[in-house]
Amino acid sequence: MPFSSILFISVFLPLFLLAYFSGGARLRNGVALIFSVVFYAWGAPRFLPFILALGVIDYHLGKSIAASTTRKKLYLTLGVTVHLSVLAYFKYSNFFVGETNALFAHFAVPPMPWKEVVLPIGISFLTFEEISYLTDIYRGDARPAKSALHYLLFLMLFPHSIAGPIFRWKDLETQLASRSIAREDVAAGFHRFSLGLGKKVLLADSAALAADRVFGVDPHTLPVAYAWLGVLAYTLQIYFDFSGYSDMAIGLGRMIGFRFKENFNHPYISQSVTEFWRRWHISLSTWLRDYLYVALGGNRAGPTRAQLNVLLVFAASGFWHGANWTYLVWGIYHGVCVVAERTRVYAALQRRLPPVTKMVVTFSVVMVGWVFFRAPTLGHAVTFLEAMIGMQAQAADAPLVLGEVLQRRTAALMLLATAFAFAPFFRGSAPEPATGAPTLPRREAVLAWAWGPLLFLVSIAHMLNSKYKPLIYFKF
Amino acid sequence: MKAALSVATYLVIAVAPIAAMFVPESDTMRLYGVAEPAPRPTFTWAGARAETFQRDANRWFERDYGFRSLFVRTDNSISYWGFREASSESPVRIGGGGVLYIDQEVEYYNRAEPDDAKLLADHIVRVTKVAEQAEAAGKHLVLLFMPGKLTVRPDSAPAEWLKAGGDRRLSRALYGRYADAMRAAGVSVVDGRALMARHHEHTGLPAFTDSGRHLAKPTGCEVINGLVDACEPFGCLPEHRRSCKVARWGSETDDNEEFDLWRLLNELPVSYRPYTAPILAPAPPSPSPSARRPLFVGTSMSKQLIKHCVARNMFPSYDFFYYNETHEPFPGAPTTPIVPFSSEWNALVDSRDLIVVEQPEWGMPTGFFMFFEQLITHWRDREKK
Repeated sequence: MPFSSILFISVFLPLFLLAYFSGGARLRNGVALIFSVVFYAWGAPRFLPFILALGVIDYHLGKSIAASTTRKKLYLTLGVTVHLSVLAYFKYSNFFVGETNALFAHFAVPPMPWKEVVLPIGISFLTFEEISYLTDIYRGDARPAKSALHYLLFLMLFPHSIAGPIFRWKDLETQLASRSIAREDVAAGFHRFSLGLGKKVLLADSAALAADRVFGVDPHTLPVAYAWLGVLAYTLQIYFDFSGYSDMAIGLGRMIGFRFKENFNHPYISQSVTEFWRRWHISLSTWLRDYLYVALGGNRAGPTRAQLNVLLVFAASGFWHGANWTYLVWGIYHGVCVVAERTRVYAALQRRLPPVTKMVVTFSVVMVGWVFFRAPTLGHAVTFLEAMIGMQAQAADAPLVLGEVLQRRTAALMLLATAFAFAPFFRGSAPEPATGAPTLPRREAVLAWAWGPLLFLVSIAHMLNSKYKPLIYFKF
Repeated sequence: MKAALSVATYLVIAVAPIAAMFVPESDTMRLYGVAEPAPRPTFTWAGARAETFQRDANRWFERDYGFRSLFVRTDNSISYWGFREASSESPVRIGGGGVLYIDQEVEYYNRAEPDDAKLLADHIVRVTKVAEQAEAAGKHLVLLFMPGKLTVRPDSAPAEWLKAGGDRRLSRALYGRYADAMRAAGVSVVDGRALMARHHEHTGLPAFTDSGRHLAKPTGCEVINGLVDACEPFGCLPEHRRSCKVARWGSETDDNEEFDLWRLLNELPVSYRPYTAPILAPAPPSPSPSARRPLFVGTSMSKQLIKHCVARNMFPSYDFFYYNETHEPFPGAPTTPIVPFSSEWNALVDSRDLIVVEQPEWGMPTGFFMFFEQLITHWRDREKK
């Protein structure tokens, strides 16, 4: 049940809020857990027992890690191995078997018999949260959950359970135990939800119309301008799609007294790829930094090893997104960019370029990366990139006409989306990622109060009048 | 207080449509061209586990959502009044001067499959065979060639809709090649494009109104005159020809069919009607029908043409296979699904002695609803028996 569905907005959410606020403070966690379980069960009922069982195992492992002095590492290794094995089986087995069978076919060897494995929704996000829980207890950065209810609620809480942001136990522990909710929080939560809904339904889904059209044609015949238009559309789509979802998650949390960390901070105004990753999917990039980069040795073993670690982390990030060579290449591409930015030559260049140039260059680099992310195969991505620089033979019959790709409303909304994406740069106010309470900047808050309900209404109208487009990150 | 009011506003927006679902007549604005309400699903554990219950519940809920037509019309109005275009999910496109077109025809216009020539050649062989077998069985086949609005009125289509290539494109020539081949094979053809051109030459009127996908009444009238001419040697009566003179223009025609594309825009206000259409002079008293019993096969365009025939009292009864998927007897009997090769389908194709098949240009180079293929199979199977 996505947040951007009528059923969620008109049935699930009002019923949940009614139960949550009528039950009294002591019952709130229980109510939230019951509704979260229903929410997950609606989307993936057959995996619910499995996800709950993993949560219970974690809860006990966490206690064991905290209690033991000699077997801490063993318990941690056991927990991490279980979670990574689960992720590997559900997310990557189809891919590896498919690739192996393709290799077999090349040598005329019969394929391995294999039944397609279905990916449990949210498993990538849950795995990272579970690993961070165990690791933080092992490192002494967090205490184990005092009750299974709290831990299961941390995992299953419906605003984040299926597509992030990736929570950390230590950030939510005290909020799970006790939180206060003012009416202003509920209102602010609704405003934020409405803003996210508008971003997803009006901006991202409109850009998706153009992106899907362009990426749907044979890239060998794609004119240069359409290729760029398609990538721009996808660049806007993925940002407003996921940041809109994160806004909705943050808003829902706020309605019920939680303060979640921000997950995006105007990433397209970044002046380097390194900065981009401080602003994009912040909960993932900080997770990878804290639990993978650090575990690999970080920059403690000299600059060369640090560069290699960066590459490995970005490759892992790419592969975490999906079991396809395209995601892996996307990750490595970003890793190479970040490594390149650590060189002296780049640092010297950076000092000479004006900020706007650096932003445009970074945005272009990121756009090129999205081609790998969006294309169905590596070959498609490469051909598409060739089309972007005019290396593909132009067909006598254009495969697309402008009217098919870009309606006037779509064009206007894409312009608006572009303005939203870049406005903070020109306003000169590009705050660092928020680490504390996610209060809206004053200007946005005023806008939210004034336009929130109207945006909510217009978004619902548009949802009813358009085909459902699932969140891109649902498939991860 | 401000916060409470704000929360209340959101909740009212979210919940009011649910309340409206239980109030009869709370949503009276009809939506045209939109799928019918989905049935309310029954909960079963098996269905929930397979996630079919969730999918069906979602569909039912969205279709039955309170004030749905108001929401949909509001969103369409943003596109229409803000950007002078139909919404992205609409099959309608708004051309220059507000002339409306349908997606299918734009797609046809832009199409240039290399296989067109081969498909057309195969199809011509098939139709010729059907025509010959029909004659042998004492029946007569008439093809109604119906050009698309875009190919007849491309002037109002903006350049950004149309691919480069113009008349060189193979698709554009399909109509003429198909019609010529049929005439050469001795198949009766009513050439809608030729009739429209002649009508336009004499009256200056467009074949299609700005707001309709179906033929304007005067052109529809001319096509039926063409049908009378085509089947006159086979029992149609020349008395059923009539004058197609326009009496006046109005925004309320007898069945509003000239506004079908405008209705599909589903915008606000509901009563707003920016278009007018030509209205024919009253028909003289109708003579007795001919003895022929026709079976029409085609799209909603044929349905409109049948109405002309009914008004002229041309035949004693009419059967219509809509896309060869439903059977609609005229006048007034309920529509039922029809399955090719079923006893009902077999009985109708065997018993009717005038078979009128619409050939919409956007469906070329084949007959697109498989009627000819099925007819050949049916007759071959009958011979074997």
